Amino acid sequence: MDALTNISIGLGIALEFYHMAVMLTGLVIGVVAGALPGISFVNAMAIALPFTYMMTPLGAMVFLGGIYAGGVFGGSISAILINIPGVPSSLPSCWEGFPMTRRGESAKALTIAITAAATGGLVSALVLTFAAPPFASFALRFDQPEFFAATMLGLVSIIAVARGTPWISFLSLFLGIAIGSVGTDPVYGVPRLTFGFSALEGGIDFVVVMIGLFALCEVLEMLGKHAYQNSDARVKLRPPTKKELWGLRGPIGRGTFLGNIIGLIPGAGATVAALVAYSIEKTISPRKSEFGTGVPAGLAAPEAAGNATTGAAMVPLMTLGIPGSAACAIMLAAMILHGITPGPMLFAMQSDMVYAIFASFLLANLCMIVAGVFVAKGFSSLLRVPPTILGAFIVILSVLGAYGVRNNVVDIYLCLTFGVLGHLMKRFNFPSTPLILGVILGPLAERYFITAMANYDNDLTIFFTRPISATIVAFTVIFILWALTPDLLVKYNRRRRKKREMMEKNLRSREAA
Amino acid sequence: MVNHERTGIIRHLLPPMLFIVAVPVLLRYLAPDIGQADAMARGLAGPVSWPRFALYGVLFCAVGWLIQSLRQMRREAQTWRLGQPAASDDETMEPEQDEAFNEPLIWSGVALTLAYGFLIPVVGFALATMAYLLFWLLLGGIRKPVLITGITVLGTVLLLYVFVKLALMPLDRGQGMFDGITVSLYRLLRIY
Repeated sequence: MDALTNISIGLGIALEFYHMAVMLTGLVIGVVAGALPGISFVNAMAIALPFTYMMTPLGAMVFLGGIYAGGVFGGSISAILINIPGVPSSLPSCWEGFPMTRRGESAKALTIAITAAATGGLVSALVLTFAAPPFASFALRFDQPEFFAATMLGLVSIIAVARGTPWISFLSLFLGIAIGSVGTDPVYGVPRLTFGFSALEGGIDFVVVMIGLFALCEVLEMLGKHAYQNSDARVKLRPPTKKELWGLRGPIGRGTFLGNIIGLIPGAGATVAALVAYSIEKTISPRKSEFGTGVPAGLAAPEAAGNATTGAAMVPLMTLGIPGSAACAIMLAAMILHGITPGPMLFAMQSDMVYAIFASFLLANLCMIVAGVFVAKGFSSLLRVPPTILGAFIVILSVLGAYGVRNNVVDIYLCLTFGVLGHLMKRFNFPSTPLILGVILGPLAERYFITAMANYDNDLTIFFTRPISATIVAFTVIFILWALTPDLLVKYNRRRRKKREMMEKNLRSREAA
Repeated sequence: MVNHERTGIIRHLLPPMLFIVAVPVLLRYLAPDIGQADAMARGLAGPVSWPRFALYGVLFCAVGWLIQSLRQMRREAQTWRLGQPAASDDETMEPEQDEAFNEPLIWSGVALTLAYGFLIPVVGFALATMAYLLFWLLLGGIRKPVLITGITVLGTVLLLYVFVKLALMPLDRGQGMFDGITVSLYRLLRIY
């Protein structure tokens, strides 16, 4: 009851004109920044941070919370419409959303994404409201082994994406991990795989790889075959029916649940949640063989999961001061800037402010539907532009996006190289998705592994002896077995059938003889 | 060697072989001083442990892929002898045949895009983008002078306003006289 009373007080504060205005401004900035390739919402939050000086502490948190809530969804707009994931967690939206756009179903894909993202976000805001205080004591048990185990769960999700090509997919994944490890190592400061090029010592950013492999590769194909002509898009532009949306309640529910659980784990974040949700959906879906061709369930689940992490990731931030993601780290910086100390004492001393932040997060997720629709409508008009013109601007935005990572021209060269590589990979059916996953999660896994080993005397059993870590590892093993069983069964049945045919053939030839 | 056997070897065996050859080289040059890097390792976790694990993973998968490809080739050879179409194997890497691509156009696009990337530090973002837009539109088959000029000029101006004026991105202005031209352009557009 306490929480209900507190949230109603918080809602009253959040609904004040000033707080609503800054929240809506932040929301629109977040959706637009997320949708523009290269200007991620995290960058937007970082740029906006100094502007919060002129705001009240609560106003600053509400403003940044708006950017955060809108930004995670915004990345999906460009992923669905032009195959450029605005944020890493929008990767599954490229796999399922963009094929829908190519079929002329962009409105349907966007509506599904907005509905799923808003549902995930709303539930996570409720989780934030009601789970934050009890979580404070539980989250104290999380350490490097748990973070490593969670990252490994994200990495093995590739099994579901592998689609009957396990050797090549895992090779691609390991290649991605190797690319992700290029540069100076995070603990000892030793340059790895740089071959004497000082420009590589800073590493290869996943954004650069992602933009190259997805956006540039797509533009080159667009140039080569003029793939999605826009007359089609205009004819078939229709949103999904209520029945179709209701049919997605399962994927959205599962994604929301997963996103909330994974979001609570500091460091795991929206990307892991979206990928795991996609993999699980692919494993259990009756349309699993069609995944990658624009299956709505494959779009809805990761969208819900990605946004469900936003509120959940704020739980460890507010209760313990542990930022669960880069966005949360900026929120933490803002809290410190404004003299707010996160932790259990914050709930006791400034509960009005805490619950006003929670309430504005709830409102931001509700308003996101409107903001998302408006921004998506603006982006949808892009589809009416001839592919050649659109392609030219995608390349320029990609180049700017790569440059914007570190303001370094080397990133442009890397991005273009990965674009060419992506084209070659596509032509030879070499999967690029596992590579991306390796580049994104590899460095995280390395950092967690090295620090876990350093903190626990190089004891590998630590991942299996700590209860939470062991539970996540068990989930990982169950997931691998679950994902591999159908493939193994098919192979086993095929082999048995061949053996039987061979025996019958021998029998017939013996009889004939 | 029959032609189809040669293309089979190239198609099936060359890609995994390339990885098998490349990985030992990469392992050798993993760090400037691999011995020192190894000496820094305390137990399992050293500076080169993680990339080494990844490269061993690549090697292991490449060997698995090679074995898979050899089996596929054997199967293809058997079916060839029997005059039947070869059974398809999911785990092989085959070029896509279903979509018609204009490959020369794609590679021209690749060359143009690479040239754009290399020109940015020399002539500056503004001029390189203008030139890139112009040539890309011509490459894409657009021939209307008004459309080309409009998109090239207005597109570049819009990008400059958004990224230089609003987002304050320190985009390259080019070297020598190109720096001067870019600064003049920025002044003309009231960006500076």
